[in-house]
Amino acid sequence: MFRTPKKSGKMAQLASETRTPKSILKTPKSKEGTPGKCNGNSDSEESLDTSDSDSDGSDDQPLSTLTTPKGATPSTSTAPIARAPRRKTEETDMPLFLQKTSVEDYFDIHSSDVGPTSDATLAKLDLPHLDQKSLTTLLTGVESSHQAECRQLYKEHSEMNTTLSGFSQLVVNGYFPSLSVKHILNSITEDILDHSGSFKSPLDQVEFIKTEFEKRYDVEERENPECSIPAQPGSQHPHHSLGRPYQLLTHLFLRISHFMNTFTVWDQTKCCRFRWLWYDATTFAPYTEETSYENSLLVQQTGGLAMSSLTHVMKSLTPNAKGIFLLLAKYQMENKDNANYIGMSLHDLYQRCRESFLVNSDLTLQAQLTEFRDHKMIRSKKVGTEIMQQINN
Amino acid sequence: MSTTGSVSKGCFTFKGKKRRVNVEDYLPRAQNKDIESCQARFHELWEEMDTQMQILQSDFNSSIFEELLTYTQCAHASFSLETCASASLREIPAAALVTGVNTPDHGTMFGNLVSMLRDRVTPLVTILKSKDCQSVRNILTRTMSQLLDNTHLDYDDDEDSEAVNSRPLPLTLSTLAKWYHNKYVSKPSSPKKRKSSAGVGVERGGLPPVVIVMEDFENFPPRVVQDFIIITSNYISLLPVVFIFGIATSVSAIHRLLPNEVSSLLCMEKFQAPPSTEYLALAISQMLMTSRCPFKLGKGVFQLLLDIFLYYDFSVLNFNQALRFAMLDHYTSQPLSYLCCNHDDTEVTVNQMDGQALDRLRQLSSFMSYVEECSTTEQPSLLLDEKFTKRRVVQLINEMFEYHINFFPILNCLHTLVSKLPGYPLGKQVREVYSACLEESVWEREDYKHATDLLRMLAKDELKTLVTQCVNKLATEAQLASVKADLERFGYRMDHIDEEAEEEPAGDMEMVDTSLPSRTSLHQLRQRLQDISKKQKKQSPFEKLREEIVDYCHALFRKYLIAPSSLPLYEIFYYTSTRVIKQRLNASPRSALQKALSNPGYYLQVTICVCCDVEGNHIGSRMPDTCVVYKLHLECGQLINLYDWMQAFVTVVQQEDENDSLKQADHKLQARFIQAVSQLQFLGFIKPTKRKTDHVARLTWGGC
Repeated sequence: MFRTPKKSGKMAQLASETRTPKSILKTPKSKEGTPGKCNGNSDSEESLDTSDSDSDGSDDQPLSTLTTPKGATPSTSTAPIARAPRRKTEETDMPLFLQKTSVEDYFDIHSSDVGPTSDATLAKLDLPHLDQKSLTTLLTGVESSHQAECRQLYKEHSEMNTTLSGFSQLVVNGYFPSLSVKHILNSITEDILDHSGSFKSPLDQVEFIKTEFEKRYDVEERENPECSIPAQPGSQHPHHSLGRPYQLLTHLFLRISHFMNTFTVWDQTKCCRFRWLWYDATTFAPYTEETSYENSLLVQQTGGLAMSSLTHVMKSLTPNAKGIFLLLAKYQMENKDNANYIGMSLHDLYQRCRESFLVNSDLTLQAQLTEFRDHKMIRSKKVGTEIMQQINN
Repeated sequence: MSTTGSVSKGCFTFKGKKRRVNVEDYLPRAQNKDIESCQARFHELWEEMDTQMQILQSDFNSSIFEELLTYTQCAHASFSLETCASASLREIPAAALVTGVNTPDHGTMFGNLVSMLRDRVTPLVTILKSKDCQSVRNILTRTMSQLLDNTHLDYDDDEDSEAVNSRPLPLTLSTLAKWYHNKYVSKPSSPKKRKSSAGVGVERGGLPPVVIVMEDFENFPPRVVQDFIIITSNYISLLPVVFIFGIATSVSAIHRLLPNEVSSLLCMEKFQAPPSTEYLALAISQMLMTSRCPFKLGKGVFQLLLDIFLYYDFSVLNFNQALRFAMLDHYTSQPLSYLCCNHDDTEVTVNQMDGQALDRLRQLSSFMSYVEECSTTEQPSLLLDEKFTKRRVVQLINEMFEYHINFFPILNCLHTLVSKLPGYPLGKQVREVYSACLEESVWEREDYKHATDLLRMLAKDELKTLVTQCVNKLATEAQLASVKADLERFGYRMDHIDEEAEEEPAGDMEMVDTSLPSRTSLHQLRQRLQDISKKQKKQSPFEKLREEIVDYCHALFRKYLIAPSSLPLYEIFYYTSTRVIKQRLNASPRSALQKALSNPGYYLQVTICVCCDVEGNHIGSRMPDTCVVYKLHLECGQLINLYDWMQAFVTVVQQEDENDSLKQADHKLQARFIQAVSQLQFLGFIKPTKRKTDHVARLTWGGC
């Protein structure tokens, strides 16, 4: 709460420049960097460089981490010192100061345009970019701290789980990128109810499930959707309408862990269709599965998934179709240095394919290209009268 | 969770063998008999409460529903098929039912309304919800399927699907109009006869209107409603349609949704449903503040449920569910709760208690303090003699019921007296006064003292009305007849205050010692002077009477409004686990997450490891990685440099002695950092940004 003074960019920068916190000692290149600013209080206590300890800031406020550097550069030190007393009076006699400072926090964070972060980039490290696979292998050897305690926590929470043993369960991973209502419904009808027919619409399917459940089952369900599906808000709605009918018959388990989205995912009316009971089940277990969908920030985008799906498609193609694709690919490879390359015109492609006896008519080629497009292997663009074909990168 | 990880599938099923739930499986095995009886008591009491609640609910809206019913009945009283000529001039009657913002309750409310309409006005009622009506086609499907009993439509029903497919009815209002005509207009009498008796309205008054209820009108897509209304208005001469719009906010919502040309087709009337706060007040006074139901909410729980109601949803339904949960938790967590039963069953239940249960009862803190207050001769028998204890327990429970019987009427009196005082020291609503009384002995509260001070300043007519109101409140309470009589006497004396004034003896004025001590402090002097001035001021007869009344009431409250927590066997009747209720019903996932990240020791229960047990922003090297990364990120501004962040992380985590085999360690540390950052991203604290190379943007602020 009291960290505001540190937040105001310039002063914090000064502070980190004058004191040399421990973390900075090890990273000599990032003098004005954010982590330097970070360790404010904790580091200043055990700081090796005690020449400019924050004596005036902390003597009357033990809680405060007010680190006004006395021995800062003389030309600029006036500003923070002049500021400190004013704040102190505010804090002592204003009961609202907590709110106030948190509001100021907001503006402090958002006022500076880019913020006083250093220009250091990860390229400075001579560590290679890791892909998902090597990351997983590396992490398997790492023992997280407090494992015993975590296991204990997990055990406590899983007691609730055992009450469900014996019942059919459906686990839905909400973080799965292409999850849809249809998937969920199908797994219920096909795997749990052993029904192999198809349905006209999701509504029919819901109706079927409802009657089946009334006939045969009592408690049946365990859903485990991660609630943070901000990418597909549209899919929430039908999911909901189907939630309603078998509310009485099933139990829904929902895991929520997104910090910001928790309350915005469902509005009150939606929430009230269910009778929620909340359980705080913090386990500190890593979100390995959830974060492994290759959208992580630091993990190199290997395109491993795309590659594997591409090989699958390739294997299933006819030799002629393979030929067309290879032809297109070779052409693109030849032109890879050409900045203005926009693709291969349909006419060109047709000519070349004919020359190599890959297609016998325009229509066959068109059909083949459509298939490629459906698999997202190529994309087509209309330039003037020509349709250009280009392989997706 | 390792079983449910896959890159190609999002749903996993695990088939089980069990199909029906066996309740006994979920209850702890020990003390089976007690648990069974607790469970039985819960069901018994809850059923009672639930029925009461339902009666309340239907009663509560009855007056507004009556009006609505009459409206729908009369709207098309003169409907006939002959008036086609003037059809273009007719407006569709529409009732705007303003329901209030407690949307969760609306389902039951409209359910009641629809069933009332079906029973008493017309069988042709259809209810539309916005979630099913995203297009005109959907609206028509819903309307028709509800009106035509699903029989003629290609809506569902697997067996009929072939037959239906061959002969699907077009989903238009003209189909509906034809159907309506066939069913109601041509059947009851031959056209000839109707023509002959065209002047008489009785027969045609018998034609049932078609009522279309739109439950959450604001949520309908404007375009769709507009189209639907325009289409309907074209058929108004053939179909006696009445709309009922359920509106949560205000009538102006209709005008926001419908442009002038559409709303001009409607002839609207507004119906205002009473606000849900009134409903809650009713529910509280009927279900909680009554001696009928032995189960009571303790101070914290009561306040919490009220807060959830007032600050979250205004939903009585949710309040009811929360109450149910509280009750269920009471009966499962308190093994002696089977004693919390209806008054008639008390004696039997107590006599069935075994020694073990009695021992448990003796360990109740309220009972223990009761024993301590008993005389030394009684104490051993209370602790050892089974029969004696049982007799005493029955007596105590009877006293508890007695206490409740007196408590609530007197509470109502107190509420009457203080509810209109300036500044509302004890609150306006009776629930606030109740909450104050639950907490501690009310007369010890600061605001109660303030309230009595204010009462001592009331004018004569104000006090008179208050006293009369109190008398009215006590009118039905037989056991408090003497109190009522006393108050009536006070009222009488106030009316005849002038007569009393005459008997005031003039010489009664005692001589006050007005001499001042010679040497005194300033404070003492002031006190003394004030005392003197008070004594010298002659009290008027009314003032004296007022003092008397207030003192009498004070004594009354002292006698009857004892805080329940000071009574023996309090734990059996009052549910006080605020913490459980808060965790289960009013959880705060955000703060849980924040707590886990900033103070992991709280969850991990680490006693040996000092590093995790620190509040504030200390970063320990042995904390979970995500916590370290989170704490480091808290210190940053809007943008975070990944390189620096990682360096800081490495610095914090790496121990001094780990410098050998640096390369390998670095890789591991990098991997750990990446995982932690990915988790923060997954939790929504940061997101990637392109504003600067190798930076991420922070999404939260002021996290502490």
